[in-house]
Amino acid sequence: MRIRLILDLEGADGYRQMAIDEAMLILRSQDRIPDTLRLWVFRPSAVSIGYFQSLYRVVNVELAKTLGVDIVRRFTGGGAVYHEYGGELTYTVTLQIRGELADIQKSYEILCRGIVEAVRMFGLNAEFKPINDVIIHGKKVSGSAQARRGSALLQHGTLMYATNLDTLAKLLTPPREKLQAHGITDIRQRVTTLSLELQRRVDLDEVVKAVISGFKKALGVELYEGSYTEAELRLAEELEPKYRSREWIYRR
Amino acid sequence: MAIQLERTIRARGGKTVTIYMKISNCRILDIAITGDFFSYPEDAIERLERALALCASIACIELAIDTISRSAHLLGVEWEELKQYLVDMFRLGCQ
Repeated sequence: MRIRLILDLEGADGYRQMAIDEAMLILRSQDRIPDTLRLWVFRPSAVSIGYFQSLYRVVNVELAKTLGVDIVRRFTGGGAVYHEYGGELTYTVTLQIRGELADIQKSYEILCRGIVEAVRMFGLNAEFKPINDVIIHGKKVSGSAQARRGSALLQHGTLMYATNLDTLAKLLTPPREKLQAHGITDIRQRVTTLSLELQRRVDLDEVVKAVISGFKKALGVELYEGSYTEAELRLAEELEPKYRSREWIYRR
Repeated sequence: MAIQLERTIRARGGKTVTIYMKISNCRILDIAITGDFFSYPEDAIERLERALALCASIACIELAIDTISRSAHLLGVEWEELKQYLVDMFRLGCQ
């Protein structure tokens, strides 16, 4: 099987990126685009929050404004994520639902395997941790979230390779109950990056190569490089104002 | 007089759920279910919140959950668990 690969590494802001992701899911569900792996970055840095999260409960909004960090609400569930420009790669995989992918929990495991394999290419012992995390030595290096429309699914997720975890810890304010459940007092104790684990500076280029190889191996597919279709760009443009609107961002 | 309740729980499924409930005379006036869980489809939670608004009995809460859960799947929290928390909060607000 062959899957289109889109590299969008110049980056765009999170509102635009979220609109592209939703456009891809809609168009894949209409069978108007092929299965796709998209690798991209948030530019500028952003905090993305899950569809069901209450913004003020999980993000230090004032600090985000001070730092010039965008706040983006995703159309997928899950938790808040800090996407640091220059420290994080985001992936999106958009597929037709077939075989084992029909089982939602199983599909997280199958698709997160792309990241697990990528991290293992650095010689690190990565593991999938249900529901949606990839961990190294018990610490989270990647989280993913998935949405489904008809016969298509989209999963996007982060891979932190050099994120400033002090900034992350200041921006994200998870409920006390969540920290307690993990037996920690500070989010900093639960997350890591490839650079920290390897004790050297990892750069975006090597992460991109590893993630491409990781997904090829995990999904047993060939990738061919492509670009956005006119339909994707047009639909993303239509969806983008929603993601920029206060109504959407502050809806919960 | 309306009573406002809020409870954050760590669900058995591993996700965090916060429920806000505003009750007056044993009637739910407002409700919000937030957290880092997953729902398929996503709009099931909004449908549930609409169905719960104005509920004035435990039976109404249970019916709302049972109805929505037939066509939606949660990850990170279970429907029965959510039902129990909602019922507990409603009872507390009615005391």
